[in-house]
Amino acid sequence: MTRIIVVTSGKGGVGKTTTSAAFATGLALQGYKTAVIDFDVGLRNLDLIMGCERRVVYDFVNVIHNEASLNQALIRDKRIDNLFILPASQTRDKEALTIEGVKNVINELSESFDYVVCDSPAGIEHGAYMAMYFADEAIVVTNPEISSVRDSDRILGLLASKTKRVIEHRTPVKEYLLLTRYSPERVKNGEMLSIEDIQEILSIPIIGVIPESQSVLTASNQGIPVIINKNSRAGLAYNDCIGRFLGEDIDLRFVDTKKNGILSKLFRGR
Amino acid sequence: MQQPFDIKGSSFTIPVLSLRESDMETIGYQLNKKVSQAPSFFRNAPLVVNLGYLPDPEQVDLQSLLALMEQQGFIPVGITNGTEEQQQQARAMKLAVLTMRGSERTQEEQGEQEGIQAEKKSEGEPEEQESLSSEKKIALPEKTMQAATVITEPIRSGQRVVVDKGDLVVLASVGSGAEIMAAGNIHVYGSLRGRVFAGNTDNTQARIFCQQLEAELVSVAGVYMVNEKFPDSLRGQPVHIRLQTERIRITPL
Amino acid sequence: MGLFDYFHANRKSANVAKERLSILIARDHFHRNQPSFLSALQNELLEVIKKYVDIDHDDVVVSLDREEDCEILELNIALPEKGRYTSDPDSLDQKNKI
Repeated sequence: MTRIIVVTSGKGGVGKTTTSAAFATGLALQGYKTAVIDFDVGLRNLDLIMGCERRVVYDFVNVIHNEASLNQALIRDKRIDNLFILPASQTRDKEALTIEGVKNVINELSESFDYVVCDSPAGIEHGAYMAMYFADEAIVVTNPEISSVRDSDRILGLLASKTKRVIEHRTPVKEYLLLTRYSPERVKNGEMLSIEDIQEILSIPIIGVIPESQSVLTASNQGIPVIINKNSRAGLAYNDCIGRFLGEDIDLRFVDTKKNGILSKLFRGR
Repeated sequence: MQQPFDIKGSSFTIPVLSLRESDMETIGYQLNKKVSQAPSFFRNAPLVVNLGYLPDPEQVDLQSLLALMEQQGFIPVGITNGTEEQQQQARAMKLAVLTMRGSERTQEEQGEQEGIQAEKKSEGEPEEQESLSSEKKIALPEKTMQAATVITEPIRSGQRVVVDKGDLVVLASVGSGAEIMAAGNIHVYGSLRGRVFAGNTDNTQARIFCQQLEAELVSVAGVYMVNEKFPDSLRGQPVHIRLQTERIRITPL
Repeated sequence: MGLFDYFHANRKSANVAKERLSILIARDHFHRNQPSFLSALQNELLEVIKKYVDIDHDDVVVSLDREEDCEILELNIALPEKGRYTSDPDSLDQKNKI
């Protein structure tokens, strides 16, 4: 049974694409055949983060408009065999996506894939709605910052009302909170909302906390999903998320200044 | 109540016969030669006579010229750039007196070429019907077939430039995620980082020229090559891209 | 952070953020839920009434008013002249206050 995961946030720049790339890569590394779709039509970036921008010929919109077959548009990852990327079009706009078109693509992917990761655009407009509509599970990416938390709350409201599962009266979309750009030092100093604060406000289970890390930028510079970097705290934290997503019981890491004092100093700047 | 008629301006493509000599015999001979090359194209074609290039316009006898044209199967509809006297004569003969826009232009063979263009246009451009958010549609000057469209501004990510006829010359850069397409050749003098489609889907003779090859994808007449397949030695180099035995071939300039 | 911060001379910005956020989100929820809750109520009422009387969507009007501490839910159901099934004519046009 194929599971459709949407990575969404409402707010832009919080790490949706980084998370989509990490999740898709992580699931593929666990042996699941995974496709990751860029829903950010007109502002495509997933191909850059996945490092396949020079191999894009056809895109998601071409497939929806029957200008190319799904197989023509899917790009097989160079590093991992069972990982595929479906890039967005850069020259169209979000309205090029239709429920019917997206449905056809997801149905076709469902014939052979274990997971389909949908990288949502920012905002709560058409593109974001298309990305979440077919979701079984949602990763809500949030920064420990007041506007991001509020936007995440808004997105949770939409997930609970605008998705296919809700409309068809099935069990609702399973929601997970993923905190990114978390800085235990700043939380300790009272400058940043803590995990507990955010969880209390959003009240959904937390799937992981990704520490603020230079390695995220380095990874996107190189076009290598950060989860592949086992020397980076962000990479390890994403790896833990995959474990939790697949049902393992893993403690949060890199969330406390005391425990990882020396360690975090060692890794700082990576 | 419905109006019995509408009256609106409309423009038609009408061949213009620009005379350079006033000798009726020579004109008749050449006209016959021309018509025999494409008899069906010219049959019953309306024709406007341009007298503006004649060294001695007053020498032309409109009456016999008209007869000559009718003999070749044309339907003369008017004159342009005639003398005052000829204009009066034309009116008397129930011919229209027309004012040509850009009257200094050579109009020779214009009708024939435009006819061919019109055919081509109707065939191959379904994809341009879609309305695209940031597409720049380029309106070409109607008169000349070989005209190139020149763009001096950078073409940015997400923008799309489509040129229906002729070549496209871009003097600035084409950003990653931008798309440029032309029926003819494409020249890019800034850095080329976007996607380039020369020759639409059918013109296999079209070529791409660029100063700095960083394109995401290049395509000639629908045959494409992605960046990854470019020879490393040619990346960032000035190159020339064409189709050879149905494959993209990139050579240094 | 705990209690200490509350007594600290200058309050930490994270706490201010949390407080503002809590209020904000409570308000967002109220505004967001109001219309959907009302239209759901309207639809369900309509379904129930339709079982007995043939009425249109627009014949059921639901609105919510707030007066200081109490909220007033107003139902206005217009029944058509014919096809009545209700035994009590007084219930034709009802106003219920909750």
